[in-house]
Amino acid sequence: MKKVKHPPLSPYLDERELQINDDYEWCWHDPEMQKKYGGMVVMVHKRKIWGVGKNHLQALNAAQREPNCPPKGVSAFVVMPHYVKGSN
Amino acid sequence: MPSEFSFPAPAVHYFCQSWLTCHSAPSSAYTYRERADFILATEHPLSVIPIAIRQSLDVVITPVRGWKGQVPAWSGISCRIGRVRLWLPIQEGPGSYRDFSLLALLPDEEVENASPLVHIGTQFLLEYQAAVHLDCSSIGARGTLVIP
Repeated sequence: MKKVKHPPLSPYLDERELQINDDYEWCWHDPEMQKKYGGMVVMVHKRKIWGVGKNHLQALNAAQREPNCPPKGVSAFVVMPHYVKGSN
Repeated sequence: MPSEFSFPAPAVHYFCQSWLTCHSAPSSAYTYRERADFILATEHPLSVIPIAIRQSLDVVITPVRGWKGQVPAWSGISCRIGRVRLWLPIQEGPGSYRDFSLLALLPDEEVENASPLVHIGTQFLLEYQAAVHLDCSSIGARGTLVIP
């Protein structure tokens, strides 16, 4: 098997990773998202929920059934916390 | 950061923001980071990367040379073992991340009802001489992971 040399990554997030982080933080902290998807994994891109499942793969598969689903590598996969009243 | 359970009695588990190095495209030499927060799982000696995370994020895994003996199973599921690159935010340098080589069990199947998060076991904490401080003085109090 040919060994692939990966170029090193910077200690700072690039534009794509910053977008992933923004989506992740928004979804994780949003009480409405917590109420709706608590305990599930959601795939989110630019603050739109594309897929939901019990794990990352189920969320991805659900998203890929949607028309115009964004490609892998630009979306955040968020393991949603349960909504607990008064904790936000 | 703590994540509260919806129990009649207060209970939390502890998450930490973390990222994994992933392939940009199948078999590509180019990589990027995908956010995959971990759960602190000190009840486990070895860390675990569930199969659904590996497959959906296309995580870069390197083989472990010199592993002697059988790879332990996880919750009854047979596993391979490998190393992944884990990135953690640096408290002293806002916006910057440090990478670690994480030894992890790679279960062959999904474990029913297991948390879909990366589980960080005690081997990682020992390898990097980490100190874990959990502040349980209130439900929202945070913990810290100090790695020299």
